[in-house]
Amino acid sequence: MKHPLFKSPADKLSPSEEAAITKELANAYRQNETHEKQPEFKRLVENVGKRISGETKDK
Amino acid sequence: MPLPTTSLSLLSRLRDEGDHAGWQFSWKRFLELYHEPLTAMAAGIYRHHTGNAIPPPQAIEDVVASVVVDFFKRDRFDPNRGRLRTYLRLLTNARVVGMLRKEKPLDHDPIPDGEENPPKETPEETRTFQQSLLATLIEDLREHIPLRQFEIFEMVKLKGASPDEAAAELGVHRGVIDNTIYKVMSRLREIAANPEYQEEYYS
Repeated sequence: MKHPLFKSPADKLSPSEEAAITKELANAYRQNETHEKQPEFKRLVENVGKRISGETKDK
Repeated sequence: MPLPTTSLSLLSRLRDEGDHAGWQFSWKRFLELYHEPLTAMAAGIYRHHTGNAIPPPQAIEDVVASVVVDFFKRDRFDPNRGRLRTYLRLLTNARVVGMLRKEKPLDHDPIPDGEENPPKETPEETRTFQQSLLATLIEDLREHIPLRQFEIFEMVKLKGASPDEAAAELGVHRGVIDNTIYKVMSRLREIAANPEYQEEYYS
């Protein structure tokens, strides 16, 4: 079944479809916003930063 | 650097070609958006190639870090040649296979030749990738509408404030909020209609 977000913009969305889109977007947004505060994510950023700058050799 | 049309096509163009600060920002942003599906992919692929062994967190972090470096420094993603999720999967699989082979002596290759291919995508990978894609869509929207419109959309649709609360906080009429939300939702659907998004969304 096609996700309502990907329906043609010309098609009108029902209130329940619009609510479903809003809920999924809000979840994705919230999930993404919380990453920055997690220590595992900060460590990963450091790990990638060192490899990209060449400080840690990436084979 | 040419102006990107979407965040997905932006991914195919970013290289460290003079705009170093922009590039630094890009890999961090990419990591924020995609580290979760990459982690799910790396863990699923590790389990597949090891007969369901529990992946050590540090090994998975190193695989994810290497994939991001591969993505930004070595290879160029070309949307005309395939989907982003397939491309990331191949990079991740290659890194997991390489790591497992490196850990074992040559005569104890844990992955026989011909069995290095990535396994089928797990439901967890699908879910996390779709979530990242929606977060990318929000980023894309942010780049394509005035800041004030995005703030109203963020307040009401992403953070759950009521239109009346948003109107009171911003000191505008309720009608301004309703009108803006309608416009932004229409713009969002126009961006989502880009075939790139639809092709990436469905597994």
